Amino acid sequence: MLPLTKQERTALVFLAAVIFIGTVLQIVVKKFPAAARMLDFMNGEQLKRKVDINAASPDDLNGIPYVGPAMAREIFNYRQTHGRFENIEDLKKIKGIGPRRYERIAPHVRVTGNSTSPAAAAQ
Amino acid sequence: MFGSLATQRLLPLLRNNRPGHRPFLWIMASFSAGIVIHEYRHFDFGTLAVLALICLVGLGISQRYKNFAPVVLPGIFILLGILSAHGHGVYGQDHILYRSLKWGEGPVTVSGVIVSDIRKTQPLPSPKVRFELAVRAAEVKGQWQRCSGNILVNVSRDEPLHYGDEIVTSGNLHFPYHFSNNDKFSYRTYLKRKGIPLLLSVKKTAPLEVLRTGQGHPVMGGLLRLRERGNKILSGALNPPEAAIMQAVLLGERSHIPRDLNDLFVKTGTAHILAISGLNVGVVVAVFFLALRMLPVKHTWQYHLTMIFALGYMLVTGASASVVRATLMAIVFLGGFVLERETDSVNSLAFAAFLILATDPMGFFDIGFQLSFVSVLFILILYPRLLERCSWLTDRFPQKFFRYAVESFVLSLTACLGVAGLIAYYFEIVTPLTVVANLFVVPLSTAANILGIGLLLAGLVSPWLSALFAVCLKFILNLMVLVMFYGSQMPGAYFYLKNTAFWHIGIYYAALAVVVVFLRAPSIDKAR
Repeated sequence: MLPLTKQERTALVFLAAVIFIGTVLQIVVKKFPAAARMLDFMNGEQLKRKVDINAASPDDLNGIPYVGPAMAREIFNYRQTHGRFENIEDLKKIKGIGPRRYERIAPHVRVTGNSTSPAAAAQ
Repeated sequence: MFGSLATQRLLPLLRNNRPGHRPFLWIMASFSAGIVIHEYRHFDFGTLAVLALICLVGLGISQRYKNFAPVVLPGIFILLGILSAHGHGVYGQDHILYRSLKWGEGPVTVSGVIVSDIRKTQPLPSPKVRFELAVRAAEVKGQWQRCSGNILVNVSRDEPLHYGDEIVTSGNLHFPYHFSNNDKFSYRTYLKRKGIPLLLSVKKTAPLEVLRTGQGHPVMGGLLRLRERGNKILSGALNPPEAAIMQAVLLGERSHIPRDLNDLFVKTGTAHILAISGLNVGVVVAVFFLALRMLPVKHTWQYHLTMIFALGYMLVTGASASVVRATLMAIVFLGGFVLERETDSVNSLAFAAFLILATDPMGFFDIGFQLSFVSVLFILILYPRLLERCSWLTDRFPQKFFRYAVESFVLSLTACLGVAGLIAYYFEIVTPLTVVANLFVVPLSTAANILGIGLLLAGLVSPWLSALFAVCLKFILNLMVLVMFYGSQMPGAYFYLKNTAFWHIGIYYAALAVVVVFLRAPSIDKAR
């Protein structure tokens, strides 16, 4: 037996475990793409929360990055007056959303769901 | 709320925690009361002078008549709290805040030394750098004036700046924005309490010149370079979100965490994982201590070196309230070994809080400070009591694993109960999932911490070993986020509150206090 102290044994076992598990994981990732996707869960689309601008309340709209309470109110009012957004680019029609701000907001929104506009409610 | 490694060491200590001599608890309580009184009641200079005189007389009385000391000393510390809080907000005549009142509108040229690390953010469409500047002089309408005080500088472009650089730049000087929908948090007040009353916005095209380098403290400069190196190793070996988590938990750099990921941690009540806390400090210090135990270093020196390392780590991570608290408690704990004296955990906690508040009284209103101390306080006082009530369960199922599971659950429950009121008040969210989520997330986070330290060390010596550490770390981190993601999808995992008032929280903590008193300490029960 090697004359090792408890701490030395712990460190060596830990290092051996990392080398073993790391090597196995590297092989698994190369051979099985599904496992690779699991190892990349954080970069997946599932985590990216997008706000539906056709269904969101002013509070939800306020939660979109780069959208403050005033801008959230503008978006909500636009939807109430003009009906549902056909696509994300419609945001550019709102006062205060120029190309720069649109570029910032666009990755965080989506256009689906039911409209809460008066026209849609009437239908 | 500690991982398996920390739990094995800490749980027996907590079980054996007994109420003892706790002078700092009363000192801290009185001092904090003084700070709170100052916040809500304005005192003029004459009143403060009288208060200072009363302090001096009180000190004399408590020294002469020792029986009066328990009554007089808390009063003195309340007065000291008021005086410290007042002293914190007093600036000199040449402070930039007073000077700027006479300057009016328009750009200002300031020169000063960078006294913080450089935070780089990458918002679309252009990057930004942000740092704290100790102002030395300012130029307005062609005239240079000597100035003092710290300001926060936002530069709308990437600049290769470092801590300790003496710079001269131009921009618009203004008060920070409030950035809040409610009156519970204001960015302006937050910065003001940190001694930063003004913000300088430097435009993309505005001049910025480095006059000299190395004007900061050499030790701090070295530690920040170390941190920068660590950041580079982590971002080189991991994907951006993974690197962001590890930079936050190991190096205190939280600005790169994606918003969605941050939201997920908040919803599952595990946001404490992203801030350096007692868990992280404990793991890092324990790994360092373990490494020292393998070297031919004298036993006492191992403790001393670990204490020095803990202090260095505290500075590297930006010395937030939770890190300072954990570091001071670790030092008191290790010092107890060196001096061969037993330490009382509640007293150590109060001592740490008092030291923080003595240097920065306004730190009392920092949310991180409140969460950190309240969670640990409740672990220390409620955990042994609750565990005692669960003894019938561990007696019936004495298996080691079951006992560990019960202890971890009670520990998680205690910490969650402790901070639930503050979280409901400040963030208006209640996360019942937290108690269960912590049981999975905390051990995974502990493993991630250890692997992260391994990655940082391996990154310095071997790319092969570094890649192996990185892939293990990726596995653990993604598993942790996966567990949280599916946990957050469960019905009732979290819900939002509206209009949580201070009195709601007061009632909540009063009820918790009644529970603590009702349960009584295990030692009292046994004595009876």
